[in-house]
Amino acid sequence: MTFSSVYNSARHFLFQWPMLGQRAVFFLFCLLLPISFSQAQERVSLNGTLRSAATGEALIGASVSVAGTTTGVETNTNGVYTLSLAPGTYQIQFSYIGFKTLTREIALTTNTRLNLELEENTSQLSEVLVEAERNTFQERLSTPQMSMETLSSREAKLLPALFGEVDIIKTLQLKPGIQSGGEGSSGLFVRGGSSDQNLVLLDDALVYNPSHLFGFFSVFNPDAVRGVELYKGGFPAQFGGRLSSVLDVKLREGNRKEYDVTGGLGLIASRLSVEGPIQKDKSSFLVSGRRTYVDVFTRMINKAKESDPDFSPIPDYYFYDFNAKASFELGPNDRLFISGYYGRDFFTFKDEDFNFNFNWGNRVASARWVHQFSPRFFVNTTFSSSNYEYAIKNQLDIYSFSLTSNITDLTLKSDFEYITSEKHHLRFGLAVTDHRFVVGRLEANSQDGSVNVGAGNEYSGQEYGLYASDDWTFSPAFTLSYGLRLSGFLNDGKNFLGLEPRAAASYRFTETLTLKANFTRMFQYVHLVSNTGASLPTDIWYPSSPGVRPQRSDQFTVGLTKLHKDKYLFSTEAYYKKMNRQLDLKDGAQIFGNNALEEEFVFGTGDSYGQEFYVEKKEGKTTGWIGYTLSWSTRTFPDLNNGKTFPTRFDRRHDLSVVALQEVSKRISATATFVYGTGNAYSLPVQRFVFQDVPGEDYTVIPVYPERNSFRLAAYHRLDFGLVYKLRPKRGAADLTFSVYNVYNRRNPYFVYFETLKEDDSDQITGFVAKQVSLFPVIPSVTYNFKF
Amino acid sequence: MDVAFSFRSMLLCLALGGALASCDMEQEIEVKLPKLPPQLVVECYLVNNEPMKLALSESAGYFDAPEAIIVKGATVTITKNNEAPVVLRDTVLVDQENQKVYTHYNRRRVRTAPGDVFKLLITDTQGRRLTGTTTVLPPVPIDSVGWKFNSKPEQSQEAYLLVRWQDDAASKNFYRLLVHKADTSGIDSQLDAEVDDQLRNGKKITYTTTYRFQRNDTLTIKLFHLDESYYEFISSIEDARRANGNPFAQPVTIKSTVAGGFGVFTHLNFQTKEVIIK
Repeated sequence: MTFSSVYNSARHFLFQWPMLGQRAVFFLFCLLLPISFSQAQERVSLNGTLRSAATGEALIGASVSVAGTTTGVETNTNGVYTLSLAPGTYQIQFSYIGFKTLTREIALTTNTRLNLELEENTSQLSEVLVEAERNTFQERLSTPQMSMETLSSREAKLLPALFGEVDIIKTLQLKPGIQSGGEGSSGLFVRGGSSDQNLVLLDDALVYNPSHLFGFFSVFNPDAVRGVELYKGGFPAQFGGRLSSVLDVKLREGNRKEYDVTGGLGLIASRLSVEGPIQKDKSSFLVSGRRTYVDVFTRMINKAKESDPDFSPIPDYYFYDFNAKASFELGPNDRLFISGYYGRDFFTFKDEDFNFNFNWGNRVASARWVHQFSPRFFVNTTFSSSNYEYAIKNQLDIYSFSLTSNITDLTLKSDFEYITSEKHHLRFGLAVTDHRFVVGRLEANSQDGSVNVGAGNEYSGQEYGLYASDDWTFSPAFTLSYGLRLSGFLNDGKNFLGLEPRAAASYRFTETLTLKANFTRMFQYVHLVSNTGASLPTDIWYPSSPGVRPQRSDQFTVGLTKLHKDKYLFSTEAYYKKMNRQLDLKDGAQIFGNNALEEEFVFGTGDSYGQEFYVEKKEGKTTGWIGYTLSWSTRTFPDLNNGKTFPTRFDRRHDLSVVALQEVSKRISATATFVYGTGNAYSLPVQRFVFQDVPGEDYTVIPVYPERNSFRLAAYHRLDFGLVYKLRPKRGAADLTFSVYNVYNRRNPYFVYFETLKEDDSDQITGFVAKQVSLFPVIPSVTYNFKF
Repeated sequence: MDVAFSFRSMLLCLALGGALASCDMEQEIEVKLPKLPPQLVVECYLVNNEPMKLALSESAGYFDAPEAIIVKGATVTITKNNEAPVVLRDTVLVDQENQKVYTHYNRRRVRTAPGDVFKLLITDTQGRRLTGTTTVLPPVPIDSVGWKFNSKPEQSQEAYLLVRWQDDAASKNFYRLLVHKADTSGIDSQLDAEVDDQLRNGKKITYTTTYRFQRNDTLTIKLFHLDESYYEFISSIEDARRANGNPFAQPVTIKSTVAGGFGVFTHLNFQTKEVIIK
C-alpha cells in the first residue's frame, strides 16, 4: 500500500462520486455557507492560545468567557479560542481544570490576538478537580452537546486501580451508560453497543484493538495521555464509521520549557517518560514507554520447578508499548504534531519439543498540520496510518503452522472550523481511508514438502466521509447544532453510500435548567468477526462487501441538565438506539482457515434503550460523582436462538457507580469507588445426555443449551480504596499511590460452569454441581511515581 | 492449547506471584434450571457384517440424579434401501469389552456397500418420533504411518506420529482419526481428531500429533470416512462440551444427524493399521 492508493481513493471520491453524493454535498453547502457570510461584520474577535505556564502545553477544552455573562467558548483541540464580541471593554475570564483562573480586562476595538499561560494549582486534588466550576457547569448547561464524558489522565491517576495500573478506559467505565465486558476488563460497551462499535482515536489515528492482556488493560499509557473525550451519542458530524461511541484520546505534547523525566514502578509494570523542548517555547517532544515484568517471575518459577514432573510450566506473557509525540510551532499560524504508538503483547509457550508463539498489537502514526487562515478560520489536516495484526506460530520438528490476520489503514482528512459570528460556528471537512485486510492467512508447511496448506483472503476497501455542521446560537436560551455527513465505502465494485443526519438542540428554561435532545445516524463499514462473545485478539476485521452490508444505527436522546447551588450538576438522559444489519456468526462457525468466511455470517438487529442519571460535585474538599443507568440491550437474529430475541451478555439492568475524592491534606488525597451492576447475561446448559461414542472411545456428558444468555450471573459489586501520598524528594516530585482493589473481598462471578462429580476409584458419575469462578480477591498494591 | 484456561492460570500467577492461586476463587453455587421435556437420544452405528445395535435413552435435567434412562416401549426399525424394515428388539445388551450399553438389538448381520441407504425410525408410547438416514461411503485407505523421536535421552524419548492418506477430489470429505495404545488402562483413545478436506481437496492429507508416544508402544490407528452430518454432530458435541467452562465461548446447538431428538445414526467405515513404535 502506498500514498498513491489514498490519492487515487481521494480522486475517486472527488470525481467519481455518484449523483446522489454530488447532490447531497451541494445541498449541504448551500444550506450552511450562506449563513457564514451573512453576519460577520459588526463584530471583532478575541483569539489566541491558552497554555500551561509550567510546561507550555496547549490547554484543550479550557473555558474563555465574559465574566458575569453566559457568553463564552472553549479552546479547541489546539488550545485555540476565538470569542466574537461587539467592540467594547470586557472582563475576560480564562479557566481550566487544575489551573488558577485568570481574569483580564480587555478593550476590544479591532481583532485581537491574546496568547496566555495559566498557572497550575498546587494542591493534589485541586490540581485536577477544582476549576472554574461555575464556568464548566455553565458550558454544560449552554451547549447542545450531550452524551459526552471527559476525563483527564491526572484525574484517573487519583483513583484506585487493579494492580495499581492506572487505566483511563476503566475509569471511564465509572460513568453512566458505559459498561465493561466483565471483571477487570477494559472493554467498552456503550449504550448497548458492541465492543467493535467504538471509534477509538489516538491523536486522530484509529486504534483497532485498544487493549492489552485479553482486555485487562488498555493500550493507553496514563503518563503519555492527556485526556479523553467519549461520545455516547449526539455525535458531531466530523466523526463517523462506528455505531456506538467515539473515544477521542489525546496525547500530551511534552514540556516546551524544560526537560522532565517521569515514571512509575508498579506491582506488575513500570513506566518511563522523557519530555522536553526541542526548541524552547517553540517545539517539544514526549517519549513514553512501559512494560510488564510478570514474565520474569513466571520464568523463575518454571526454572525452579523444572525437575518436578507434575508441574505444568506457566506460559510466558508480557506486553510493552511506546508513545512518542513531537509538536512544532512552524509560525504564528502553523503548527505541526507528529504522534506515534507501537505496542505488542506476547504469549509464548515453549519447551524443547513444542514452540507456540502468539503476538498481537497496534501500530499507529499520525501527522497533523494546523493552519490558521484567520482568527476565525482554521484547518486541521491529518495524515494517519493504523495497523493491527496478530500472529500465531507453532513449530513441531519439521512442521510449522502460522495464522495471521491484519488490517492496515491510511487516512487523509481535513477538518475546517469557521466561526462566522457568535451565533454560528461552522465545521466542515472530508476524510478518505484506504483499508487493507488480510483475513485468516493460514500456512502449514513441513521442511520435507509433505505438508503445504494455505488459506486466507486479502481485501481492500475505500471509506469516505464528507460533512458539514453548524452550531447555531439562535438566542441566549436556544441553541441548535445540525449537520450532515455523507459517508461511503467501496469494495469489490460495490459502492455503499450513507446519509447521516445529525441534530442536537438545547433550550435553557432558566439560568440553571436546560432541556436537550438529539438525533444521530451512524454507518459502520468494517466489522469485527468474533466467535467468543467477548473481544479477543484473534477477532478478525472484515469489510463491507456485496454479501455484508454496512451496519447502521439511529439514536435518539433527550435529557435535562440542572445546576444546583453552583456546586452540584444533575443530568439525566433517556436514549433509544436501533441497530440494523448487525453481524454475528452461525453456531459452530469456523473462522480460522476458512476461505468462505461470509458463509458463516448471520445478520440481525439490535435494540438498546435506557436512562442515565448523573450527579457531580466538583467544589470543596470532598468531590466526586454518582452515576446510575437503567438499561436494556437485545439482539434478534432469524438464524440464532430460533429467531427469538436474546439479551446481550453486557445487558445490565442496573449499573451504579459512586466515586468520592477527599482532600485530606496538602500531601494526602484519598479516593473510593463503589460499583454495582446486574450480573451479566449468560448461557448455561439446562439438560444433558450421555454420549457413548464408537467402540474404543469413552462416554461423555454432553450439555444442551436451549437459549442464548437466558441466565444471569450474580450481581457484581466492589469497593476500592486509593490513597496518594506526596513525597518530598530533594529534586522533582514523587508520590506513593496505594490501591486496594475489592476491599471487602467479594467473590464476583467471572463465569459459571457445571462440574461432573465422579467416584475416585471407579470413575462413576455421582452427581453434577454448578461452580462459580471469580478472578480477583482483595488486591492491595503500591506504585511509586516520580518526576524530575 | 486451551488459551482461555492457560490465560487464567497465568493471570492468577501474574497477580501476586502465584499467591492468588491458593485463594479459593471457585465456589459451589445453586442454579435453578427450568424443567424442559426430555428428548430422545439415539446412537446407532452400522458396521458391515455385524449385528444391528442401538442405544436409546433420553436427555435429563442437568442436575437430575445420574441414573440410566431407558425408554420403554419404543419401536425401532432400520430399513436398507427399499428392503423390508428390520425390527430391533427391545433388549439390554452390555458390551463389556468396550463398555457400551445397547437397548435395541437384531442379531442379523448387516451387509453394507458404498451407496446403500439406511433409514431409522423410532416411535414410542408417548407419540415421539425420531428419524434418521445415512448413506454408506467408500472406505479410505491409510497410505502410510510414520513416527519420529525427539532429541531427549533414549530412555525418556517420545515420538510424534504422522498418518497420511489420499483425499478424493471429486467430493467433500470428512474424516475421524482414532489412535489407541495397547495395554493402557481404560478404553479411551490416545488421539481423536476430526479432519475435513476444505484446504486439502484432492491432496495427500498428513496428520501429525505432538510428541506423546513411547518406544515399543503398540498403536492401533483407525481412519473413519464420515458423512458431513456425522462430522458436524461430533464437532458440535465437542464444541458444546468445551463451552461449559470457557468464559469466552458461545453456547452451541447440537447438530444431530437425526430428526426428533439428539444423536447419531450412521455407518462406520474405517481402515485399521497397527504399528509398534521402535
